[in-house]
Amino acid sequence: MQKAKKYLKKEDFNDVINLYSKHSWLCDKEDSLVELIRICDNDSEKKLLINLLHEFSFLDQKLLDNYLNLIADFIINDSGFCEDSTQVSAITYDDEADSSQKILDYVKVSLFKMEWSNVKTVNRFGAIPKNFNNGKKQIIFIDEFVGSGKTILGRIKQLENDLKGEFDLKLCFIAGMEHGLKKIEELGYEVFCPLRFLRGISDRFTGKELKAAEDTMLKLELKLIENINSHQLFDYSFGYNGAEALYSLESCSGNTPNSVFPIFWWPRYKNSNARDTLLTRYEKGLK
Amino acid sequence: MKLSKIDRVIIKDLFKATEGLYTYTLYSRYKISPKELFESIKKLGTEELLENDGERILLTKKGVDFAVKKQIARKESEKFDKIPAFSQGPRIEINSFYIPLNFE
Repeated sequence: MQKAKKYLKKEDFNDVINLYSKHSWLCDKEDSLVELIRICDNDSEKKLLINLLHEFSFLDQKLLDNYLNLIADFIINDSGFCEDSTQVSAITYDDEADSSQKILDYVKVSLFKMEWSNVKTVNRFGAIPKNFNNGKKQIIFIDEFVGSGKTILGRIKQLENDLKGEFDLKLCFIAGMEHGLKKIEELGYEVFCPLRFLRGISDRFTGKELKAAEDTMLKLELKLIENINSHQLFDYSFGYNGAEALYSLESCSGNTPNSVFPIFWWPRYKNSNARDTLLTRYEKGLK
Repeated sequence: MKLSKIDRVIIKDLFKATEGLYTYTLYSRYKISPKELFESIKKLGTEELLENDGERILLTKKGVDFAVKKQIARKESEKFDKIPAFSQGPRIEINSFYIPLNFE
């Protein structure tokens, strides 16, 4: 019988049990969860964090497989693209491993199972023009998650500059923030994204409650160290580009997006002590 | 169903509490980790041995029968009631000689 390491007050205990009822993945992160509750100086901080955790989407393998199949089904049956003229590409720009390549690798299996056994996959954005010149003029961008949409918008602009001639582009993501996805759709490109999220605070609170929630989150972020090597907390405040995401694919060995509120993954406290964080964000040099 | 130590503790305490107990009461009594407590309660709920009325947890009829049948709720003083007579002789001291049963 495992004894509780840190004793919880009744309200905190009930909050933890309610969270477990909704999110069983939190059961395996009890120490981190308790630490998160304990950094709160008052009820409003605690209430906000518990509220955000209730809204969290933490995909397991079964759900991920389901979404991968939906993406493959869209590409084959709904995109209007043909196998012979399509290239399915990751949006990876440099030579660092990233989740876009991971999802591409997963999707190719779903595509194969659904009859597209010979489709061209491209694991680097820079290789798209070469395949375009070989007749692959129908392009699918694949990525795991869209936050503010800034990265994708940059890739689309780059693609429009790089390709000499007409092309069709459609984009597929496992999950994304509604405001980021809309920016892409406003350019006239079709997006397939089975999981669309509202911003954790800005789209879920209004009026005085919104102002209070924003102030509370800022106070929580003040408990974290401002700089770690070249990374500045300011850049990730409320998630990168203020994305306010509540999503992770960690249970499928994924990397938590930097779009998620940093209070859940920023690794050090103000005094530089290491945190036992609920989530892990791999970012080079962020330790 | 195999019962863990926590399962037994929960059933035993609920057996004595006719109006059920707050989960927090069990937590504060035994300082069990919330995770283990939650998982045990969930397991016993799935087996329909206990129910949650929103605030408190209490044994179901099936749970009460189960506790009686498995003798989970038996008092400490009753533990030795079923020891057979031949085992209730004088205490054998350490390193002392004795005749094993059925020696012949």
